Amino acid sequence: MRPHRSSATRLKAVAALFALLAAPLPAQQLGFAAATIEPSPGIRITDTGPLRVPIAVRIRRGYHINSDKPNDPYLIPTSLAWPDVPLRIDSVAYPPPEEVKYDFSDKPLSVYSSRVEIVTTFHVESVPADTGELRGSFRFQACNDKACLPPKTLPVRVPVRR
Amino acid sequence: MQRTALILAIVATALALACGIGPMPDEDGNSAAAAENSANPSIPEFSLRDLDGKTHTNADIEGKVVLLNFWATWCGPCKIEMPWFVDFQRKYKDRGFTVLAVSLDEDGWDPVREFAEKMEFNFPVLLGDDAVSDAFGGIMVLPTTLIVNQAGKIVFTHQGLVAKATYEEEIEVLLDVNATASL
Repeated sequence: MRPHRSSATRLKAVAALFALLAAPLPAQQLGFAAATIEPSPGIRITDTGPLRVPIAVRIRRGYHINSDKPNDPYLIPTSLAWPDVPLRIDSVAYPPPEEVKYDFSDKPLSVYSSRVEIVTTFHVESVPADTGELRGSFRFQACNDKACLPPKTLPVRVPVRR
Repeated sequence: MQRTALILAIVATALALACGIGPMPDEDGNSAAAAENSANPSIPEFSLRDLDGKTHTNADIEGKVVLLNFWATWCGPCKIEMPWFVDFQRKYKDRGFTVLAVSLDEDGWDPVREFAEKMEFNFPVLLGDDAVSDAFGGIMVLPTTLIVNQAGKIVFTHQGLVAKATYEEEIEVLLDVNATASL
């Protein structure tokens, strides 16, 4: 005779699966990133002049990264750099930070959380003949209210389309 | 439905194993591996310089209870713990205890020295790097604090900020074990 399984047992098994899938991974797991770059849809360069390139950053729930101007000299600022792009950089505009007081700090910290967009304005002097890619790097350092992760640099890639 | 539940349970187990989901730290940042038993791992071999240029190795901590803290100047939660460690060093130093603070700052001694002077550390501050981090199993979260017993075994491991009382309790337990053994 087959053992009888109650609906409650089955529900528990399903709940266990969902709990497992929903559980935050330990931060020390390989590949864990508290912030990620959203893939860029790419840009079209059709004219000379200013070229606005937004880069969206998603920050894992429960974590924050320092703003580009943290109000503590020891903290590592968020930065977006374009070292090898053959275009003149007019500006890199960071979003307004949040001022958040954490238990571990005496004063509010200048941070980003959730999703932020950093906008670089390049100046196009001549329309490129070919397609290609703008390559940059995004550096950040993330913490939650109990612990911090080491600083990390992520590659940024923006396809250039005709 | 029974079959579905069973399949889901198997998938869940497989995912857990595939993702390497191990024991999650409890409220005090303890992992299950921290429980005191004979399987506690030994502290890896290390040789690190302190702020004054003195080299510290495993031999320097033989027979001592050690609070080995990995930290960085950019780590906010680490800064909360530092005054506690100054207290512990003052309170327990004469009972065979020491704090060793290993900075993982990538910018070298400059920020560490300035910070250490400001915080008036009364324990050795050492500078680590990726190799040190790897030797200790990969320190990926700061603060990470290991409490090591007199035999050089890592008895408690904490990732992230924990209560001062938790550390005190663990240090006292290990110091008492030694005191009892020497009676």
